[in-house]
Amino acid sequence: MKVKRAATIHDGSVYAEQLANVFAETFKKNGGTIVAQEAVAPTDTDMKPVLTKIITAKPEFIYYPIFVAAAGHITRQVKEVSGYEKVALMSADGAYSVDFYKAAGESAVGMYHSSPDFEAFGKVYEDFLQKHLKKYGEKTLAPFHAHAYDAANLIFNAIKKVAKKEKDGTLYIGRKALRDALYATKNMKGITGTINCNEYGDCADPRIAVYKTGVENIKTLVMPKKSFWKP
Amino acid sequence: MQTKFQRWKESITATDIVMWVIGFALLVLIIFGSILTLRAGRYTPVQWFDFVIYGLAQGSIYALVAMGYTLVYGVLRMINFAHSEVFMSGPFTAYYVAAYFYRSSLLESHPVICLIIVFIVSMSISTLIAFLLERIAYRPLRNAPRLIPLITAIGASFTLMYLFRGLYGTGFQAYPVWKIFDGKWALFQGLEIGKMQLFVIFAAALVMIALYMFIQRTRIGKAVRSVSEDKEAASLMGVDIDKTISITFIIGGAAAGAAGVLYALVFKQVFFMMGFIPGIKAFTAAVLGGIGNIPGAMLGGLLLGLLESIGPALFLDGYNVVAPYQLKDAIAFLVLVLVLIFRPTGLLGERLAVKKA
Repeated sequence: MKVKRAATIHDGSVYAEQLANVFAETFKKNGGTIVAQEAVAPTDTDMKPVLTKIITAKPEFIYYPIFVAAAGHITRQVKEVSGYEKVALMSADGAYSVDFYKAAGESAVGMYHSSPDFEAFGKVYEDFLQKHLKKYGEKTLAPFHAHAYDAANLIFNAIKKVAKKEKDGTLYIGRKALRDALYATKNMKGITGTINCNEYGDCADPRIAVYKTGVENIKTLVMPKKSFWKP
Repeated sequence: MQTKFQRWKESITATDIVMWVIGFALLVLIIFGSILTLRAGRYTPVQWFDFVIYGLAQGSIYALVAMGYTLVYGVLRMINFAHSEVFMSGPFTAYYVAAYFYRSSLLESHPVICLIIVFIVSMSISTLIAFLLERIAYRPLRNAPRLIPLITAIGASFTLMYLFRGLYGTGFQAYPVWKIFDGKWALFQGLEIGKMQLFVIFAAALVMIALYMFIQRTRIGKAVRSVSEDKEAASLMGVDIDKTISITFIIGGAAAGAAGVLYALVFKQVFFMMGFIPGIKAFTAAVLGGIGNIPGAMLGGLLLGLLESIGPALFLDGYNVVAPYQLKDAIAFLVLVLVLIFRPTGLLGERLAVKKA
């Protein structure tokens, strides 16, 4: 994509604000201009005024790494504000789900999402999806299902390491011991990759890709299979 | 004249002066910010016009919901906090009707009929909920101390919210698109108005006028007004209090149901907590206009919608505030504070205050 002028919208949550800021920094570093950095409230519904404000800065691209409800409103209402005919839209994993497709409808066609790279997960991941479908009768709902599975396993492993059984049968799990054991996790094989934790408790093997939504995705309410871009 | 001024001087307290100073400071800030913004000339007249239309569309929905608050306050002197759930129940139920029309492609062939049916379904569900709410939750407590119905209202609000969560699930649902409302009408000189906004403003105005006429011109409306003025005297005059209060809730419920469909047509998403924020905003609108006063609720709603839409751009852009739209609620509530400092009874509240005195 060749865009020079971008705008960001966050919703005041730490997650969205940081994503927007990191995006803005990287975009500037690569020679682009950030023309507007706006914010909405996660419960806002009428985004047309803020979109009208942003269009006065003439962006070619908007990045709004926010969550389903507000992102859905923005995606729909972009079509109702004049000036946005050629502006590309991009959101993040917080709004990368079937619920978002329902909320945004056809207006989501052609927009981009940054999200975990599902193609990088490999064979184990496919099995996981099959098992999930069999057990719960529905497909996974949110983009972090694989991470949630790994996170649960992380904590189970840590609990197994530190749990002590008292004589009267109560299970004793020391809080500090549990945290230390969790933070010390190294080389755990998860679905999302090989997981190593650091001293701050960040445990992940981050692989991010960008997905583009097509007409078919909206019609059938299925997330895109192939990623649009990978680092 | 002299004595009047002296009396006024004696009745004034330190708190009053502090409030007035705060009020004036805020007012100066707002006016100064607006002048700065207008001088910067960032927005074209067309964009200002757009702001106004967005604000009016949003505001007329607030106004409709605010009517429910104000009517109930008028007759019962209580804030019906469960009104936001009355607002949610209609459109959430009507969604399933709308989705059925969409699937059976009836929406494509008969959009107007479908719309009318969706309106009827939503309004009747909301009306029913409002009616049952009064019957079950408020009537047994009518003569209890004032705090008790208030707490009951909050409880009823949560009960209804989670009842609907249990019924329809926690997920978002999105209303189908009515193709007839797509696009815009060009006015003169590049001014355009979205068909959807126009429809919302007109439909809301129509419902409001109809309900207002109903209250002002009919016998039942007269009963509602008499009960709101003095319950005991009205009952002595042969007005059936229970029936009249039920009717008040029914009118409020119908307005909320209509507002809910308009809301869902504009914003598409419906879910079990959708009523919460519009409910609070509509309550604010009712207070802004003077609670208990029906034209006040309409005015307050429109004003609040306009403030939310224009306020951040007009008041804060001049100061180069980063991301002013995050502060739109702050602005709306700030103006409420301002209004209440200068006119404690709300914008149109005086007539009511005189009547009560």
